Amino acid sequence: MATQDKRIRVLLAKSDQDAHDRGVRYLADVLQSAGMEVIFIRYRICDEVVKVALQEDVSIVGMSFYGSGYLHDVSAVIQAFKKNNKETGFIVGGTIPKGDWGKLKEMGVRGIFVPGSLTEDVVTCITSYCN
Amino acid sequence: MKPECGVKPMKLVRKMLAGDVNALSRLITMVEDELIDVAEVMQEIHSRLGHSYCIGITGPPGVGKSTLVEKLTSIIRAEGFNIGIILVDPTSPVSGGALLGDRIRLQSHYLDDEVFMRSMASRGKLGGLSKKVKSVAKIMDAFGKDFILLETVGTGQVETDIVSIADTNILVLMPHAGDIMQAMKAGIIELADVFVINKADLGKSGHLMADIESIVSDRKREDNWMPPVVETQAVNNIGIEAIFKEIERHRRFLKNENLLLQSRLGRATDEFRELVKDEMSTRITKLLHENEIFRKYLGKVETGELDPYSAFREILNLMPKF
Repeated sequence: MATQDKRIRVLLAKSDQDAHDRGVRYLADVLQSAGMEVIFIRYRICDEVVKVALQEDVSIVGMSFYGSGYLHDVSAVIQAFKKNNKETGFIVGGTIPKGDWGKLKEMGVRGIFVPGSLTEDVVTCITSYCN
Repeated sequence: MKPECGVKPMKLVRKMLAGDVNALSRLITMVEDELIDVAEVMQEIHSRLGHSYCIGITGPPGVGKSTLVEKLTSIIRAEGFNIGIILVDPTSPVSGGALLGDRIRLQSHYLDDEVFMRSMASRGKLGGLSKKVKSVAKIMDAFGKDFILLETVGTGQVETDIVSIADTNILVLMPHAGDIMQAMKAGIIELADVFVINKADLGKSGHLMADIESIVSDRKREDNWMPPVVETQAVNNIGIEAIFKEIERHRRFLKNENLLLQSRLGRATDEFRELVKDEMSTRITKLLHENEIFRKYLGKVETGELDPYSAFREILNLMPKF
């Protein structure tokens, strides 16, 4: 058979109720330029993120937040993945106060990216997880 | 990529055939990335194929294909059928990456267990469809989907790949997007079974409709099907039922004329030819690089000792005759 043709598939998700999507759209473009296949969705409830990620069989799920609610949403999504026995890497971006970084990491989030973070670091975080 | 945790490929196929959705999505990745012997998977599922009816949706970028898929899905679901959806977007020729953005239009179906959606990148394959789309459509068929909706990348005039997969091909156009000459020179226009004029509220859709109807009636098709033209406003959910009715009418036509099986067998023959051609071409490329005799002739052309055609004929004489 032909040689393998692997690509890193990433899902980026942002709540429907949060209009501040400039950062996540920029990141989608950065990841695409880094050779990844990026799916971007909006969601009403966390179940939608889980369902899409499972159907698309992505290696990484990135969630973007401007407002509060990230502790709840990220925890709900990670729990649902565990329930489905699905190994996936999680990254979170947006305006995340430093005081909560520890809680997110404890949940299993591999990278937290805030205003001032470098896009190169996001790419490195994803590729090192996938390789 | 993460290791497969010891899951054997054929075990994955069996889990998928038993209705495991996660196995379905994993298997699609393995076929897409060629982490698995695709031919073996296709052989394994062959006896389960033929249930799904595949609808292809193609047309220029921005014409409203994803929105139409979303509305059409609602109608097909309301009829009680389950659906597999394949959404193809272009791969960047520069980075090899892709932004798979069609899915954002289909949010209303995310939580429906009977709808399975998969975004795919074209991965450099010309013709508007990923090379693997055919295999993925088959896997969804084997899984038991009643309908498969296949949305291509935004196409221009020559991307006719879709015909090699779908039972009914829909070409979506819109008013104010170039005159009728654009449509006439398009290869795809000869292959569409249903024409849709979306964004009909933009005005002048009547002109486009008359133009398409005149082209269609001027060109008699071999199968005698007369492709209908349907006006829609996908965002306002207008005209979608009419599309589904035409799809069903086309499907009945194919069945009554005994053409459904015939055209599927025709496509299988094409697929066989393509498989053999691909494999031969891979092998010959390898020979050209590695085989001593091939390299000898290559060298003779490089130094000017032989002209390309003489070298070619000598190589031909060395090839096995069937």
